[in-house]
Amino acid sequence: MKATPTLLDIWFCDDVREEKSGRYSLMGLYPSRVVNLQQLPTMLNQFNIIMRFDGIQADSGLLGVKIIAPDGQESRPIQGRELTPLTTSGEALFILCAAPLQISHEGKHVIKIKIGDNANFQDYFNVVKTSK
Amino acid sequence: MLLNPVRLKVLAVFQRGAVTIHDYLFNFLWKNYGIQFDCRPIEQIKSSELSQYDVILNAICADAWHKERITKLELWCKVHQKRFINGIEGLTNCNRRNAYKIWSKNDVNCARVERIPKKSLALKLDMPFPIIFRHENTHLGSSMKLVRNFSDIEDIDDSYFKKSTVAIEFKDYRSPDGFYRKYRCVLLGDQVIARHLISSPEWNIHSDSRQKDRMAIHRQEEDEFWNRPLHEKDELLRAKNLLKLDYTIADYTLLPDGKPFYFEMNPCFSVIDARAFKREWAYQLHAIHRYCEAYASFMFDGYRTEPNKFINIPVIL
Repeated sequence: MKATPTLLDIWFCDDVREEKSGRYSLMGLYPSRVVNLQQLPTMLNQFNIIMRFDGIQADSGLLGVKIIAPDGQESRPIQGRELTPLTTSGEALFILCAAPLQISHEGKHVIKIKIGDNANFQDYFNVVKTSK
Repeated sequence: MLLNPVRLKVLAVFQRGAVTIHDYLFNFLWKNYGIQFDCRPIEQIKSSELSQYDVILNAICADAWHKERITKLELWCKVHQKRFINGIEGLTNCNRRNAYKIWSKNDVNCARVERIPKKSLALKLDMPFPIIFRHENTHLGSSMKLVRNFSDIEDIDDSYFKKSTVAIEFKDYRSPDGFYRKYRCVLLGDQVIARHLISSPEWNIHSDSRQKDRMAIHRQEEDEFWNRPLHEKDELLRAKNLLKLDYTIADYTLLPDGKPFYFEMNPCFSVIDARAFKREWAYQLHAIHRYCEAYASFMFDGYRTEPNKFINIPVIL
């Protein structure tokens, strides 16, 4: 039976380093989906979104990701990338390194993820403007 | 910061003081695909250096400069069995006059072009008015003039006419809604990437021709262009292959029968506009990234690559 792709986890952090062992070090991991900023609009040097999937097969289709700001401004950064299954259950990892990332508005930023024609996932991060 | 190991070494050859591949493409290919470009002027290149590269990219966009050097470099690549992109034949063929000669014999829609290096020759032109005069190898249509009769030609200063001056038959390509539409695609090997569509009430369309009060329409038109099946793809590739170019951009309009009418086809690298990094223009990044991805695939032609676990790009929200 063909496995169905599933989004297992999504993390947000400042930077990702790939170690020689093939493992990843995440730096500045956001403990929640909240990004606190003192000023808007602003430019972050880097913002990484780490997506971990399960049920990925060689023919699962291409990954596509877009982010939609609260006012509808849409980013379509990934045109379609293949995912490589790392385990027999089809675990796969993909990192979107937004460098730089411009954020203009407070509120919910929706992340739409698509794999092939049938697997669609939605997640988000919240931007909160804090006082100085 | 995630980085790829070097997977492909490319020698990008350009002319001293001229534009080579855009910084953005350079960085995209390096960060996301491990394609390392060495951009160097052609005067510096020696045959003995070619062995350290996988691909040699001729980033000189016309044969007006360094014709002998490009020919020699192409020969060296044959000796070293290196892939050479955009040989001298393609660069020579894509001159307006040569392209017209080749295309007109092969049922490709394009305007007639005649060289007019002297005013006296312009006054003897047997071409219906209006006629476009311009210099070859200039950008943004800055040297372009529309002449409506012989009196207009008389009024042009003699110094305007030089070896590179050409007369181009004017094609009135206005759509039934009163707007002119100029399409641009990037052709890389057998890939065709829709880059932009600009509509304007003026026939002389360039990158600044989008009217500010029609931005929503511009965006909708471009979105439709990027998303629709590119039914003109085979015709575009046929026109490119007739010129024997590996990489090129094509500027054209679409005739009522759906076939392209070409304004020009040359291997220009100015397909990334700095404005795309401003929020209101960021939708353009969609086409730019498609172009960059296609460029990576074009560079790897014949080489096996593993899919990346990451992408590194700017995001404007």
